[in-house]
Amino acid sequence: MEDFELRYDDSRSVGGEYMASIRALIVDDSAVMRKIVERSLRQAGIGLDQVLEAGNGSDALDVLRRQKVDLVLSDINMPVMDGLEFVRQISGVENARGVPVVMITTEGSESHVVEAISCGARGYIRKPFTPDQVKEHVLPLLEPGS
Amino acid sequence: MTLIPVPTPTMRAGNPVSGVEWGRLMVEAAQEVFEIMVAAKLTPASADEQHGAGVTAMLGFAGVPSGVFSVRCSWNAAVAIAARMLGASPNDLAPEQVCDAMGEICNMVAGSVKSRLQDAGAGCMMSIPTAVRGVDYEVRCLACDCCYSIIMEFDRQSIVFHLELQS
Repeated sequence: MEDFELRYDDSRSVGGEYMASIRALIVDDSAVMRKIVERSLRQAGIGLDQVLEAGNGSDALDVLRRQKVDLVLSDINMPVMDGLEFVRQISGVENARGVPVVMITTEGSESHVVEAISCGARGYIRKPFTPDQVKEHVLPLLEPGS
Repeated sequence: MTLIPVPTPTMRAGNPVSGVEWGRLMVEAAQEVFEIMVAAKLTPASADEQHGAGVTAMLGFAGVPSGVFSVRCSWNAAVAIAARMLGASPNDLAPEQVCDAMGEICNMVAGSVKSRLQDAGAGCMMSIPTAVRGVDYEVRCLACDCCYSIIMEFDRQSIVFHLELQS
């Protein structure tokens, strides 16, 4: 986590512990789903300092080349570049090395989860999802030293 | 809007999805998606009472099974669904947001059905969803030869989930 610019906002807390305000990148070809993911992060008590968006993996890589983020949430089934290829290529972007990536997708089979993790994803959430599920999968990845 | 049904639900022997209860799967998947993402309960309806402008979101899937899955409802119902998904006022929504939301509903229900088929040995790839909005149009799968429809009620309006399969 040494490259992350974590800012602490005393107004937010989850389970009695202060939450960092983070910069998140949400990747999904559906603008509606990007908004729903953002709202779920906020409902999960995750402080968002800034939310960046991209409609496919290629655009997301461009965003990551320009800006550092603390967390990436990505769909898999997208045009131009899908989420699995996007995760494979993230390690080649200096800004994004070590940044946790969580896949949020309708694909729920074990083989898809295994493939996503082998590509470099750190978490996997199946749509439809609740804010509690987002919290369960994302919060541990934001803890220092995770 | 008219769907062209070919009501011959037969599958070749040995097909891993030949014994699947499609109607039950679709009901379970649709109710799960609506409860979680729309915060609304879907209840079974006896008739499709859609009149006027409607929207149909659809996606194709290839493998086992292959076919087209679609979700159809009135424009007013689609606006209500999108508003609840986004936590927004219906008056603040652009038409493209409504179509986008219906595409995601279609995507999630189809994905949920697909997940429930894993145990049956099924495996398929899903396309990106498409939404069509209009007053008088037909949707048909050219290569499909059996179909299943369920009619549910959302906000006192009917919503139809339709599955067309290649046997």
